[in-house]
Amino acid sequence: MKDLILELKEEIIEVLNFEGMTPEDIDENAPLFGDGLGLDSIDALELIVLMEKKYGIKLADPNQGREIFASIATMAAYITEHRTK
Amino acid sequence: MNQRIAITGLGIISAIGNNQSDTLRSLLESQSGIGEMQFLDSIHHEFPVGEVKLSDAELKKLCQIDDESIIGRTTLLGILAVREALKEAQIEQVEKHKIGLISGTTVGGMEKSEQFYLDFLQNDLHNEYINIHDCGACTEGIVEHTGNFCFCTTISTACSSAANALIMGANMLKAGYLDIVVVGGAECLSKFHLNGFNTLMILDKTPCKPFDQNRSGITLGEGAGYLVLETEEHAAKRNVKPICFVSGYGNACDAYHQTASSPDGKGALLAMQKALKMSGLKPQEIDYINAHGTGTQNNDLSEGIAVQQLFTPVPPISSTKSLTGHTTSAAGGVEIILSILAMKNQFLPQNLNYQDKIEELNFEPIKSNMLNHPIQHFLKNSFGFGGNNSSIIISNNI
Amino acid sequence: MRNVQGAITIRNHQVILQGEILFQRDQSMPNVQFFSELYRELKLAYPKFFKMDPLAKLGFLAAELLLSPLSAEDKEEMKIFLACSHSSIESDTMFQNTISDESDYYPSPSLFVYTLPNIVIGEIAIRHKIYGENSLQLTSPLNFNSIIKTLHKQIKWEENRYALIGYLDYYNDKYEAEFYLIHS
Repeated sequence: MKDLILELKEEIIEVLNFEGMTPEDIDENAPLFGDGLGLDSIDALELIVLMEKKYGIKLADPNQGREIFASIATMAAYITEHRTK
Repeated sequence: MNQRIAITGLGIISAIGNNQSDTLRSLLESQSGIGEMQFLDSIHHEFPVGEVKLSDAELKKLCQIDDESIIGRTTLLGILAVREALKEAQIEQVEKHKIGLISGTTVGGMEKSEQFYLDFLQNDLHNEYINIHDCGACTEGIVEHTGNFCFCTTISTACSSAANALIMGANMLKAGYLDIVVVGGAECLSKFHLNGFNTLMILDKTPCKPFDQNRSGITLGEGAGYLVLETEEHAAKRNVKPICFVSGYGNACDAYHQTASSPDGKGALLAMQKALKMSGLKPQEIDYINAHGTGTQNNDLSEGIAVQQLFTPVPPISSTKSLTGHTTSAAGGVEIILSILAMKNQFLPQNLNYQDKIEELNFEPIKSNMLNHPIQHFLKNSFGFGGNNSSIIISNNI
Repeated sequence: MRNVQGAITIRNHQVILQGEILFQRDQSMPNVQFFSELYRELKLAYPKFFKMDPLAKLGFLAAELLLSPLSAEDKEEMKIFLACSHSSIESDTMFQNTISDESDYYPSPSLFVYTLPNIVIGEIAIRHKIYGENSLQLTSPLNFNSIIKTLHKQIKWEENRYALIGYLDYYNDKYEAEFYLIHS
């Protein structure tokens, strides 16, 4: 799980263009949207692409993402349970 | 000098007809043009689309253009609609007038570029299509086949492009830079933007349901719609009777998000207020609103909130995208013309596929065509990504 | 009466504001790095900048320098009229690359957003809370000098309003921006 959390932080920094940020800057329990990392709806869609591309998880409904993408920790938990690659 | 902006010609092609008369028939019969993909070569058959029911070869034939010509579908659609508009406005020789063409498009020649993209990278077999890729090349292609316009330019503000072409054209007439201007937009379907809208997860797998509580997105369409504008005085001098008038317009920025509309519909409200102010009309004088009404959760709620802030009660309103699909950059032109056809034939066009009222809104769209319903003034909303919101008010010629 | 209250050009890794060189870097520097260095020089705390495509970054930076002296009130009803010639071709190509290979087919929503050239205006408006009229037209780069003049003709001017007008383009690693702040 720890590896996955680090991996996710690195992926998110890369995919969502967080220039100059390192994995240590992200608290895995902090909210990704709103006050935390401040992600927006386009970022959420990009995370949906990441889920499919990297972990083989298809999310058909963007609203489904809301709970899964609450934090890095919730994302990691969901991926662990549902990943197909 | 009478500076009122007259509309003296209309040209339209979309999923519901290849010209004005076919379009009017479909509109009167509420005959939707949305169905399974026939011409666009995409794997995404799960999404219905509003295609023009002609292949490129058939379009070329209709345009009397050699089948071997290197020309894109957007340009072909534009040529047909511009020719129809010029004919109605009795402009036989474009070069005899101080006339401009302002055309809105965003997809441009993309549907050919995507077809030959790998060839462009790997060989020189289809490089001639690179020259027609640009949006500007589409406008130039239309000019090449319609007449020698003394001014032409291309507007690209996403789905409000055609409406903004009208605004720019009207401004140029009022400022005296042109005597006549053909304004509107053209856009064909492409895999490029179908995939793009799909990544945003805002395409409906059933024909779109604007203003329905359970709406689930856009149905993409294609088409072209152009209007001939000139001052009332200039039309009188040419002895051409105006069809109707542009009495107000406004554009505002929503300044909220790259693609989403603000929850309070601020940009939409500002645009409608500006259009009303210019027209000198009161909200209660608007007899019909042709909404932007894309069928997404976000647009219809945001637009609806803006509309009900300004109008009490909300006048009859419908989104004709439920018939044509969303013709993106052409939508402003196509939908103003649909509304003018309804106005000239005294009926209010239906908002198809509507069942349940949106909870947060206090109005329902038009559930079936309302015949014998005169329209003196209507308001057309046309919004684009980038927060670009336009409203236009058209008044009947009485 | 309309007058030009400010002018900025950004090209060849050189920023000229009101006729004076404000910032420059060696031309061998990659464009995106140049934009990032300019962003840091301006000490902006706007991380969304890094999500923008090169065209939007260019327009954002030019607008930032030109509009920073204005008050929120000045900016609220400002008009923005821009022209460019190669549209969003950089992002178009990047997005196309995410859909053209069947075995690696992951269309990117964040790339698609920037395949609309007018998003640069949206970014400027969001940053500065500008709610005025705006439009973007695609023109030939050959009549670059007349574009500013033509834009002047196409706008309905109102008294005591600001307008941001200009030209920007990004194509094939070449870029340029020339923006003017007009007051009527």
